[in-house]
Amino acid sequence: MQRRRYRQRAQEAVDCTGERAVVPTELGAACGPVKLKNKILHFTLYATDGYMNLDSGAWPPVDDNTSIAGWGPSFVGPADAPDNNPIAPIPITGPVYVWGFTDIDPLTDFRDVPPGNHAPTGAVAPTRVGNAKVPAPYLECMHMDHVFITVYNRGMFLFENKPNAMQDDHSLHLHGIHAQTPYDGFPESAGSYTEQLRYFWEEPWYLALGDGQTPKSRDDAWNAKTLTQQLALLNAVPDAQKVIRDNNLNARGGIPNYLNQMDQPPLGVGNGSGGFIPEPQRSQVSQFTYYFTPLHHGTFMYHCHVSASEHVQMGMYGALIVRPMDYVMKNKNTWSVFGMKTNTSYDVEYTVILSEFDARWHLNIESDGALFGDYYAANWRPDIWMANGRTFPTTLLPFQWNPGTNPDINPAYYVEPRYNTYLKVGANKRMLIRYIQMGYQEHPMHQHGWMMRVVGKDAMPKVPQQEVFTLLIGSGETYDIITLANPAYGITSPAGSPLSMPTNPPDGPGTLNWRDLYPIHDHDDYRVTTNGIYLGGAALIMEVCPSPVGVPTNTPTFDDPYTGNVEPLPKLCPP
Amino acid sequence: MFKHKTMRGANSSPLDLSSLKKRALGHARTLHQALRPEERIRLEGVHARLAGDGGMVIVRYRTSKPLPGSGKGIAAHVLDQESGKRLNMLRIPIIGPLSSHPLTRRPTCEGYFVADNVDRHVVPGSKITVVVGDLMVEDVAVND
Repeated sequence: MQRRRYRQRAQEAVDCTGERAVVPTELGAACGPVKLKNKILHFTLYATDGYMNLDSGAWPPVDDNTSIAGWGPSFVGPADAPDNNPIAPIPITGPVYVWGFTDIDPLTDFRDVPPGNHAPTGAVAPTRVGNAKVPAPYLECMHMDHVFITVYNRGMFLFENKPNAMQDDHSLHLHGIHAQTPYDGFPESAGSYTEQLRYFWEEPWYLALGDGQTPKSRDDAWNAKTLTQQLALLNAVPDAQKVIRDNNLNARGGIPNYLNQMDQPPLGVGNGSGGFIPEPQRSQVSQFTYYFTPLHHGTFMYHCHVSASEHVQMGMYGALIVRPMDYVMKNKNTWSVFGMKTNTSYDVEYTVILSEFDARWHLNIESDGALFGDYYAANWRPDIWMANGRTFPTTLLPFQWNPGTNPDINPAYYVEPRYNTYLKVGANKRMLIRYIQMGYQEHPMHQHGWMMRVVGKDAMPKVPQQEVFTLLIGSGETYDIITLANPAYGITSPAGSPLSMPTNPPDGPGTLNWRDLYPIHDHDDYRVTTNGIYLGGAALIMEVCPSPVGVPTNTPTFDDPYTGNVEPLPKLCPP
Repeated sequence: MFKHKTMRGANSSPLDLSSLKKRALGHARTLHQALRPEERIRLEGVHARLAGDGGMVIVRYRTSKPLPGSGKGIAAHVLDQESGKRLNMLRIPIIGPLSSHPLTRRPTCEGYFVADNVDRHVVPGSKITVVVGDLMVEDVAVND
């Protein structure tokens, strides 16, 4: 019933005039010729490893043990503490070893292995590591777009010198998209899928797009074109110049690993004699292109589904947002979750991916079993709770991933404002938060200050919409909530109670000057810590930055002297 | 019935406990100052960065030894060296002061606090003085 209502609503939002559909769509069949907005998008992702210091940036320096509060030598304990002992503290120093997706080829963006690491030593000690982004790159498309995502499995460079270890297949599961089985990223059902595919993103005209050097710049340039422009470029290529190759998963249903010498074709890229098959075949075999057309809009995510329990814990996940067809980025009046007529419009948008790390698991992987060798996943117990891969107070910072040093890579590729977690909203404005839970726990997210209106769940409209102040988000769920920052206490009503007495506060703590700040946090309050340090975890701060308003000259009273000497309005932050 | 015991001095009048405390604190400071420089607690690894769209300053620090009082959260603030403006620790409703402390209450060698920069006195590149308890470090550059 809900799906039928959705389809009716979706049809209302479609402009049923204009060009005849060249690329057939479901809605085209129902609606006749439609004005096409169904573009062809391409994204390039690489699966690799890396380190993160939970600051998502170069500050503090990666060798600074204060990069994670509590994640330093003052927290010590036996390295061989049994993994089922919930009390034993863990010797954790420095950054966290992760796996993840990135949109910058790690072969051009290697990182140094940071000091204080727990990687294998001796002859197999690593000399470099990958550039994994956690969370993974933010992907977005429009409802009914044709989306191709090419995933290269570049491998775990921390174990480059230890070829028998850890070089897993990877895959890409588009969570909630309901793609066709071969493109669903679940290796156990995808099987050894094979097809012939036109790799238009490898053709010379495509390689000249953008800066002509990085796949991301080419993809960005391509994705920005209109469908008419895209079709013109695609159709202008003579057959002889089209790149058509096999698009294969291996027999395990996964993407072979670029560094796995053990697996020979068709499983992998080994050559049977301790080496690799030559390029470009090595890169061609260790990749797969997924395709999907999102049939509904909303908040989704993507993650690796090979040994998902481990790969997701290691950080292989990112946000995938599908916008309604009437969304126009430059026109704020069109911003909505499910379409302009669906009562889901907003003024400002944030995406928050909740997740957790169990440091023992990461240390076990990083040390190739030397630490916490008996780690048992069923005893999983997180000690780090994160919002977009960061813990408070770094949730107050603009989001960025650890930048690299290659001067040919645009530094803007390490910055992602759509992952910002400092929640700023104007007074009387509507703030959308897209919550994604990619960890393994349920998080009761409690919002102070205002109720939040639940407008969507799992990329479907929530009907009827519901106002809550605590929202329980389970693993694998997404929620869309809209908060109307009105009334904002202190903006429309001065601070203080009718019994408050005028004071001349000192210029210090205790002043009546205040800011319109409210926290949003997991109400399992022990999780608002980072390895035992409070305040930490996935705590967020929301600030209302009002437009200038007049200062009220009197206040409601119980006949008390709360007039005239009332404190000025809170300091106003820029809208 | 509990009977409040009062300390009495030589002249049998009750001693002022709060002044005793102050004297003890001053004594501790003197003791600290009497230590050789290498024995005193030092602020190290101080980093400052603008946050909250420029309206806050996150200060992270490390001390050479566990800082007494840091187990419960310590008083700290920032001074903008150019304007002389004092940036107090930010307090928000319910949560209280935005500073770190370990739940074990044991003194720790590292922590952070968030200073209120709502007036935007401090900008990227500003030099600030960081005061944590009785410890102070000058000329800390603020990053963006």
